[in-house]
Amino acid sequence: MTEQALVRTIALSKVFAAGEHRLVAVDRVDFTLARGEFVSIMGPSGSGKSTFMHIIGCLDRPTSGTYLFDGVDVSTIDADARAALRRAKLGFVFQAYNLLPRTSAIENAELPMIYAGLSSRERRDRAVRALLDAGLEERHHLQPPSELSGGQQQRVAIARALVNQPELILADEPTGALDTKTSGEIMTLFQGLNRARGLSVLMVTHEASVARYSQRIVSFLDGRIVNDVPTERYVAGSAVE
Amino acid sequence: MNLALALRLALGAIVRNKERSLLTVLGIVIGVAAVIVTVSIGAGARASIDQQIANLGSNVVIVIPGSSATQGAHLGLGGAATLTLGDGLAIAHLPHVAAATPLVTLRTQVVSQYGNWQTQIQGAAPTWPFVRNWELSAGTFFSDTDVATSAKVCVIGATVASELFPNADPIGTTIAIRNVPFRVIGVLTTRGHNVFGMDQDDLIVVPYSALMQRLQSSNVRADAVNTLIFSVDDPTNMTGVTADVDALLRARHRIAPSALPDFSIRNTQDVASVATSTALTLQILLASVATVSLVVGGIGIMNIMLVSVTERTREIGLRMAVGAPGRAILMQFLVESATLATVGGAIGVVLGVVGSLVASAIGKFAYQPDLPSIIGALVFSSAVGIFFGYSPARRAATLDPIVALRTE
Repeated sequence: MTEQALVRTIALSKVFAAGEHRLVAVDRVDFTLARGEFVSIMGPSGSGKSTFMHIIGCLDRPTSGTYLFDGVDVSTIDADARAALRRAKLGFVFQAYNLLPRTSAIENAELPMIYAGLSSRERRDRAVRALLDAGLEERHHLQPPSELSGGQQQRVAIARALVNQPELILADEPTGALDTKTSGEIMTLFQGLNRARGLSVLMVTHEASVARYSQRIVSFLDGRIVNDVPTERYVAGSAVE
Repeated sequence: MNLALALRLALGAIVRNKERSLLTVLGIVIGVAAVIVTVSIGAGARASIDQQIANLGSNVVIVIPGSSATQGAHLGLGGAATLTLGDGLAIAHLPHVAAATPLVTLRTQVVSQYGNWQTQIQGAAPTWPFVRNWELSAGTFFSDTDVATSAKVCVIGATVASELFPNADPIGTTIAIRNVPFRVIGVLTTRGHNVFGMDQDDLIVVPYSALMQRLQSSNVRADAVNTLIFSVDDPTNMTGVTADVDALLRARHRIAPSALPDFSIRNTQDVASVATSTALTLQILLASVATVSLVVGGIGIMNIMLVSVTERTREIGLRMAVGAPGRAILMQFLVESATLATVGGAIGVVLGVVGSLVASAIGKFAYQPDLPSIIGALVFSSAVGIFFGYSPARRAATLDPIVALRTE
């Protein structure tokens, strides 16, 4: 192996058991994401892509199989260790932004650093830099989410994902609540961060037009990967959408 | 996440929801204020009772006529004229009796050259200042000779002095009591109001012989007295002397030991212990009501914290997603409820101190902010916050981040 993969899963499975019913959400998935890669996951609702994303994001644990993050097996670590991993190496971006209401953009961006134990001065400096990197102008830094547009709110959320200098950004339908133009701007931002800084991105999306910004598209169906191709070779409709 | 930061987050959350925070802590505010007012009123009442008891004289025994039955009609205590001067003299000669005085009283109008005033006239023996533990601010008290000669001399209370002699020195002047001229030879020191709000300084003391012979109407039995007051040389002899007096008066009044006596003996220690225990009971009652309201206040905090955790489920999920461990979430909510309760407690302390000042002004007792009870109330309210905040905080800390993030 020339370069160690950032994310590597081997026969990763997640089974939900409710009484007598067993639902196999993720079914023995082998997946690899190299450092610096920008990968999209597509698939219909219930295909297991969100559950897979949660496991990769260390919000959930696999029922069986192995998950190596940066070469370390993290499939069996406890809740506190997962929290520590999320804090140090992962950044999340959600469809609904999930910003704290009545809290300024800068304070929202500072949030992850509170748990990382940084000084208030360093928190402030890094939050300002991340907001500027995410394309939010300085005059908006003190505004609460209610005074910002959807695109601006998502920029704050992206800045929040960047402040702890993560290894991997996990984006769950990041443009789902945005119009086409703003979606394009946000995707350009992701692409730029990926190209300029080599930031690894794993994104779940419904829309092929959004997935086009990534380098590789992985299609899920019934808990399994049914298609895994470089973007330029992706044919819409090749997997069930 | 350290404590200072958690505190800042908590204060931020409280300030963001000002109205709700205030309503949440209302129970605590009222509870703490009630505790502080109760404690200060109780302390004030006890201090003023103690003062009254000391004023009465510490080892004083009072004998008043008992109920008597005349042709089947029972008169109330003190209603019968059964005590005499002779009873008083006999008591004065008992061992361990330090001093004794009879009291014959009547109310009438008195007139000085400056004005007139209705007041109580007490006929007493020269031992009166000693038994009542009451000094003179000017002049002298009357003597045995004055009693023997039924001298027309009097000692007046401070209120009477100020009413009859607004700007003059009363000593040596003459006042008319029921048109009988009496020379003022002394003025008593000021005592103020008693527990029941009666002005203790509104009286005139004259030799009992002068009152009986010169002021009383002739249809009253000549040697009857209203009250016998005597003091005991040492508190330990109180019970013995009380028994001796009981036996003596029964013998003099020819009452069998088993029969109902026609007199009643009260000593100030009994009065004091009854008054003190009444005050204490009242204070315990009020304090328990106040404590209940503190607990109810705590439940109010728990209620709102549970609502707050439910409302902020997404926020909790997000905090977990960005790497907050469960204990940081637990601490955040615990610090928030403790801070809420402590802020409420502080508001309650301010209200309580203001309330105590008002109560002390109305009830005419001295109030001093009691630091231990203030600190106690603050500590107790933060403890209530932590206790009742724990269950909501634990609920927040054990949320599943995925579920929490999906909550609408």
